[in-house]
Amino acid sequence: MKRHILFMAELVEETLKRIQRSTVMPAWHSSIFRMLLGTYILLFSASNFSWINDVPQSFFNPAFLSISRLFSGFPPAELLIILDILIILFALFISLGVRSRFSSLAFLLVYIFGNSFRYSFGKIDHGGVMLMATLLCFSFSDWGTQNALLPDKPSSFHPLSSALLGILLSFGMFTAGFEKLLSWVDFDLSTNGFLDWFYNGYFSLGRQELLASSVFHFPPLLLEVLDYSAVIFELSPFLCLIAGPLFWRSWLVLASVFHLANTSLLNIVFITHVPIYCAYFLYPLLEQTKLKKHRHFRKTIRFTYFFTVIISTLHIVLRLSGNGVNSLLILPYGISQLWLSIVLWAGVIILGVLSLLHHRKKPLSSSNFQHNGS
Amino acid sequence: MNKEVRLRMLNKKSILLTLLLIIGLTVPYSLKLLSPQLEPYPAIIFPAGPGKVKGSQDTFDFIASNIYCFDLLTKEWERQDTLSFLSPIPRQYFQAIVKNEFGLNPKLEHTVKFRKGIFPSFTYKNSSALDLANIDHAKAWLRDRLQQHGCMDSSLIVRHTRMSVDLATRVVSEMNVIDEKIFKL
Repeated sequence: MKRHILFMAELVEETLKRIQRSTVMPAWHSSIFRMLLGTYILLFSASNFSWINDVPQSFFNPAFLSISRLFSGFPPAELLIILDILIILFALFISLGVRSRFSSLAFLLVYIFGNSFRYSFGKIDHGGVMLMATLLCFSFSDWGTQNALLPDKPSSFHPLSSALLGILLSFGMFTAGFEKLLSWVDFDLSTNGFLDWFYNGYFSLGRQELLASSVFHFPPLLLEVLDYSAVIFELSPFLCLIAGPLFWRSWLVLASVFHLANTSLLNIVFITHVPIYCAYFLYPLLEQTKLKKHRHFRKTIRFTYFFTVIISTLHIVLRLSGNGVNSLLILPYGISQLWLSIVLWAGVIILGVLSLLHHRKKPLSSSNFQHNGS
Repeated sequence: MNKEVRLRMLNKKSILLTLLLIIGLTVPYSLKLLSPQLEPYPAIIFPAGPGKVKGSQDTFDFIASNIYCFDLLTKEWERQDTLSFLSPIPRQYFQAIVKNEFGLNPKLEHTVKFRKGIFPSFTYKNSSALDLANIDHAKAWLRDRLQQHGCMDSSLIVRHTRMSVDLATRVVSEMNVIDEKIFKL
């Protein structure tokens, strides 16, 4: 028995060490990620719950296992407005570095609470899963100890936070791929899983923009390859995470191409993953550009602070006046969201390729893994 | 180094965290695998969509659900744009709201079915649908929407239509109403 426990424990420790090597993110770099994420939330993903107040209470139909099931209906208007404003304020605090650990956890709680009601129409959306995971993992990191207005104290959990986020992302991808594996890998050219997504989107939901029409010209063999590629892609991140930083970042670049293709062909927008993939490209790129020592660095930080305060104020004014949407304050849903997704994913791919090129020039050594960035 | 020493040197905190992580990830996903209705929120679960279609088919069939109301101008039952009719509710929730019969039916029970009948299915009711004041408010809300769309406000129809699309021309070649439900307001 002891032998088995020892073997399992050592296996876990070794695996964790390898994952940490793939996902290394020193404190200084994670503080840049914190600012990026806070600004990104304010620009593209500032949740809005106030509209729920315009909906009849009888539409309240929460999932069987949801926090909102503890309530008898949607919350009152005042509470929804408070949730909206808290989301904006905590996103601003994350960006500015005002007690980031508390702000991240508070944002997470408000986000989960508000979304529990948003998803109480009988359907759970999955778009915000990785945002929750990121805030949970980095709440215990050192991302609020530097480049912050009110810095946090260092945490011993920091080296694990980016590793844990990598594990959660890999597991999320596994949940998307596992059921496809059982259904799509059938070695039968006459059935296709990708086409099921495509036809339903194209004909039933009107997803006919960008390159969608080109799918009609895809040969059956290509369609079958797409099915198997999707399964392999969604089941492989954990292996890449263990294999090393080059494999992990290569998978992230592939994932960005996957999201770009989804936007172009299926018109599916999934942009909450954008800052998360960027986070793993930041370390080699920031090391290369020596941004920390750049003469304009402090000015850029101050400009970011100023910019996020302005954006947050606009958000709050709009929310209080009964308006406001999640993305870029006024950007409507539809084709503009698709183009936004194209631009963002293209940018992430460029960053990813640059980080891979840098990796080839200067592979990350084990000493980098211990580097605390201070 | 002997086993006893190595066991004592193990990082117990890391092992405990690993166990918690495994439980925190696998239990919610197992529940979803057992029954999609048991998917918890929050959980680390991404959309799977494992369905598939015949690749060599000439037509693609799908079921479209739409709201119809009696237009006061044309004196016909006209299809309404779901997005504007249910605004500000996002379009993706429409099917679930229809399945819940707009919360107008206090007798409606939701069934949790397990895959391959591993466990017996069970039903539950929504507490909000049991409140008659909520139902009256929902009816008033729907009547208001019907008026805004220039329709008679006493009833609406949710019609489920099987649509066949000719894949060569990409136009609807056949439409068959397979089910419809009238909601008296």
